[in-house]
Amino acid sequence: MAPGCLAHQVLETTLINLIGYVTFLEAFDRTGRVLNITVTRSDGKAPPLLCNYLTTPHMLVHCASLASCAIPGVFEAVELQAKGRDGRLEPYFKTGNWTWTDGGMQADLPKERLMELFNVNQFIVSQVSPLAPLSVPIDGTGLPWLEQMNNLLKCQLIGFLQGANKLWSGRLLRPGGFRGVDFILQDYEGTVTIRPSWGLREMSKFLSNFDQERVKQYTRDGERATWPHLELIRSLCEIEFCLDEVAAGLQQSIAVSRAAAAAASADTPGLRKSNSSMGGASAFTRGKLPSYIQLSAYDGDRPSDTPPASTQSGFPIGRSGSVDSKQGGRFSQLPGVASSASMLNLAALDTLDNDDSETMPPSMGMAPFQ
Amino acid sequence: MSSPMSSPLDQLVRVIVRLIKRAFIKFPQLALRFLEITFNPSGHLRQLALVLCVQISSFLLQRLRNQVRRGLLIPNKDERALDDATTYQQYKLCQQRIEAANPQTLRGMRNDEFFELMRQRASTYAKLQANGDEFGLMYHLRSELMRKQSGGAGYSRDGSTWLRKHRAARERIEEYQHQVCSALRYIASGVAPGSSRPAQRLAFINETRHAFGRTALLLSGGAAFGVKHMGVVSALQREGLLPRIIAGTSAGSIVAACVCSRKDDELRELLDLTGPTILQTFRFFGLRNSTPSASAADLERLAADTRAAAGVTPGGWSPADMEDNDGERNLLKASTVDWDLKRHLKRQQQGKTMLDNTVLKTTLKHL
Repeated sequence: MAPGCLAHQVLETTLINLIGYVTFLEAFDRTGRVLNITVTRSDGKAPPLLCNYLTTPHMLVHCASLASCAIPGVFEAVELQAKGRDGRLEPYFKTGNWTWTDGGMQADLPKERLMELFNVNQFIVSQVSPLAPLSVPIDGTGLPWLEQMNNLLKCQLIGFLQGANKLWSGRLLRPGGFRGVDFILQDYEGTVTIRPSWGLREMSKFLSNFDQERVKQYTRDGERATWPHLELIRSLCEIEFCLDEVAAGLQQSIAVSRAAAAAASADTPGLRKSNSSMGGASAFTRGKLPSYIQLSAYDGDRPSDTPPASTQSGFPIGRSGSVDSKQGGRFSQLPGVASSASMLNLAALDTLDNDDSETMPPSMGMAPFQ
Repeated sequence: MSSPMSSPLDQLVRVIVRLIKRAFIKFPQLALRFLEITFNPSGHLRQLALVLCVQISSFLLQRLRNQVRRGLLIPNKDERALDDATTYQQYKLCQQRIEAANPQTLRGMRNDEFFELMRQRASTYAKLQANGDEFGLMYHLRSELMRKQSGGAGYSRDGSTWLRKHRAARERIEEYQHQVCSALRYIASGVAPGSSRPAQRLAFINETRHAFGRTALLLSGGAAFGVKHMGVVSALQREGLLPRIIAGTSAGSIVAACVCSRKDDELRELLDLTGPTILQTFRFFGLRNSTPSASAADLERLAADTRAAAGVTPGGWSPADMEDNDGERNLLKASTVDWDLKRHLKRQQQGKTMLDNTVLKTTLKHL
């Protein structure tokens, strides 16, 4: 553990003030936004770890962020913490004694992992890394042929380095464990790349603190850099956002009608016996497979038959008294193991099961129907 | 007495020895030549030198051009107003005025085939929707809707993105996209005669969504410059274009974590810098303190105090809704002190006591 020149405790305090003691799963259940943070193991011998609510649900967000900020030589590498089953902090990796550093070393933009996990195929990148201009084509010089030549030369050199990177399992390019070449061998661009500008004068304040004026200035820089791309982004995302909106609305209406049906059948207990016999344990597992697809879970008024997210995840202590007794004592003590949403919307399939008319395949457009 | 004529065996040996000698002389040369062809060091070094020159000169050119554009030479009122705009509305108005002054055309883009395809599809959807043919709409949308449509002048695969950078092209694509959105809303509303059941419609929408793919916002690293991500997020959020999947690295991870742990109204507060403690908390860098470190006994005492006080002390502000959860928060605090203590003891065992008393200060600040 090489000490850095800056104290990571200061950064840690700031992060705790900004974020609080939240785990990835709690953050997702609260806001419905999926947070991803990349960290690299400090010996560099493992692939970068992308932390999010699917891969590391109980890790604390602030310490993942702290690890991700730990540029070698500036901040010290840190251990990752998790919120344990009893609500206390514990090391995330029980064995190995690993410490974690700057995620930007190996994967500044964790594109591949996001594609695998979340079906992402379009990336809006906000690129402020001072190293990015080394490998990204420069534009706006007014001489297109110069830019293209520059690009070709860079591609050739990077291609050569990529080949050399395979020699001797990568040790040729990292003499003495110095991993500077990792910065060049990365992809720094997305479908849309927003590049807030920074001048050489600002470089001198690369590691200095903020006053109000500077924060405002930087925020304005970021906004200004985004404006030219906004219409492009709107055009690229229009259909996707429309699909999201439509799906959320449909899920909402289905949940409401299901709740109404459940309320109606509560009067005639004989009819719904099979459903109610599933009891608390089934309610605990059903509808809790991990997903970011079911939007209706975040819309405040949830259907009455699904328990609220807060009882399932995150806050096991101090709530045990208030949890409804229906779920049984054992489950109410446990922290969440999955989010409150469901993959490809099992709730919708449920209504199919319960429907007494014909059984239809859930897929549309496969079988014609009358 | 030796014979003047050596035996054939002797001659053979001599030949072999000579060959081996030559091979030993030649081999290093050959190996060098081989390495030179493989690695081509002179070529790559020359390329490196050239790329450095080109990079620096294009960087300077870029700066120079920006300066010129900012109005040193060209007194263009609109372009200067573009730089002075403080809101996106102002910026958009200026942009529109500039575009009205020099209108863009689609000539030279060679995308007629692509636009024709878009137009045909849009008219098909409009016709099906007018006829109330829900199944037909679903059938067409399931097979035709995809992110990377063909298009663009070159053979580059992001041609569609390239094309959309031009406003004229964007407008023509928008006609198609509006039609698609209206068809999707029509299907979801279920007003079509003989419409399928809601669960089926949802399955259709979900499958289409999965096939279409999602957008993610990626925030790069960059130490202090990471604060500029706040502006990017702010601009996107104001226009309702903030993706739900956000990834951050290094400095970007701080902004990403702040955004993803806040609901919309709290996020607005953060981005407008109106939150109660935001500006005081923007303190990321502190020098390592070189004063003698806190003793383990101090920390032990502190930990004991905290454990005793757990359940009584309310703590600092935190964005998660822990307001009703003092017990849990205090337990977390107590275990944080425990954690620090363990870390400290571990360090001392390793004989590295470079840890300063900031640990103590930090923990005190929490409480």
